[in-house]
Amino acid sequence: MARRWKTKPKKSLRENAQEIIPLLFDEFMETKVRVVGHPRLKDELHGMRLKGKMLRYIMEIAGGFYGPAFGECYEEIRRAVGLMGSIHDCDVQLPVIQQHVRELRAFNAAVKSDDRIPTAPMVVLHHQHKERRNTLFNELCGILLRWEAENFRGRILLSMTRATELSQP
Amino acid sequence: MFPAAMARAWKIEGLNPDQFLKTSLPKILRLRFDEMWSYLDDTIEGKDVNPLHDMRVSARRLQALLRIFRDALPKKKVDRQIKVIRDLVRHLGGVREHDVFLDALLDYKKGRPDGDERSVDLMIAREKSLRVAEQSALRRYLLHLRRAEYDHIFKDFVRDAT
Repeated sequence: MARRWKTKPKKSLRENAQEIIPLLFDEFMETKVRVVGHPRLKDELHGMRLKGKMLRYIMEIAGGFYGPAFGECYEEIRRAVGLMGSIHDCDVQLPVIQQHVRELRAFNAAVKSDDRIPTAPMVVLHHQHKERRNTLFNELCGILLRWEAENFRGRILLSMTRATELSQP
Repeated sequence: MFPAAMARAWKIEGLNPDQFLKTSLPKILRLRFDEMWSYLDDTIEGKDVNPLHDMRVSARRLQALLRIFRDALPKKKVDRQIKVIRDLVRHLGGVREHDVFLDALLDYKKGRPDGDERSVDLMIAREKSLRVAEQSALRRYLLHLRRAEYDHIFKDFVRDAT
């Protein structure tokens, strides 16, 4: 996908940040509807997370000069990207657990009953992981939907504009 | 408990946001690089999982900034640096993935009632052995970067590019 922003070396860091951050936010939120509406689309969620990281790290730098209101917005982005990371961990681990259970079952089918390895602990772990993923996913959706309802994008822009105005002599 | 907290980014002292980007960008890139490189020796040593995690987070920070400010830097040169950092992030991620899973497995085992937990033990053993393989690939890559004095290469790139 083509980048929407272009940095300008002969403009200040503040001016660049002011142009880039809203565009990175839009890129981040581009797949929100699909992600929220389709909890099983792991790749979409992962793609959204990668875009969120770009936004997060530029906001981290900009937090040094955009003041506390912007800092609060940054914390929200950080929280959402962190949740996406935890969901991604579950998405990586769930198939590994499932495969392990399959292998144990194949082993059990081939040995005498005394030598069988109970699969129950791994089945329970798989179930717990799925539950955890659902909880995290619901929490993430809550944040993304709230951002839309509360015009979070506008809040970020306003915090940047106000801080810039205050910095002008 | 496994430390899930992310390393705080180093504060960029004396950053003036109203200076031209071409003036402030070298300061940002150098600091982010130093932050990442500061974890190198401990990550190579591999006694603790934290430096590896911190190095990965710092490398991601640097990678994101190189991508965001790519237009302000010579394309071919910046792409070369992005590739090195991307490979580093991948190697670090390869180990980290197992650390996270191992932590989850050990935590889970701790909370289980006494019983036949061989299935969990087997999974732990498997993850540990995969981690050893990833750690050894990472170590080779880090030693290669250290031998090549990549810190000088990166700083020369920043000096010449901005």
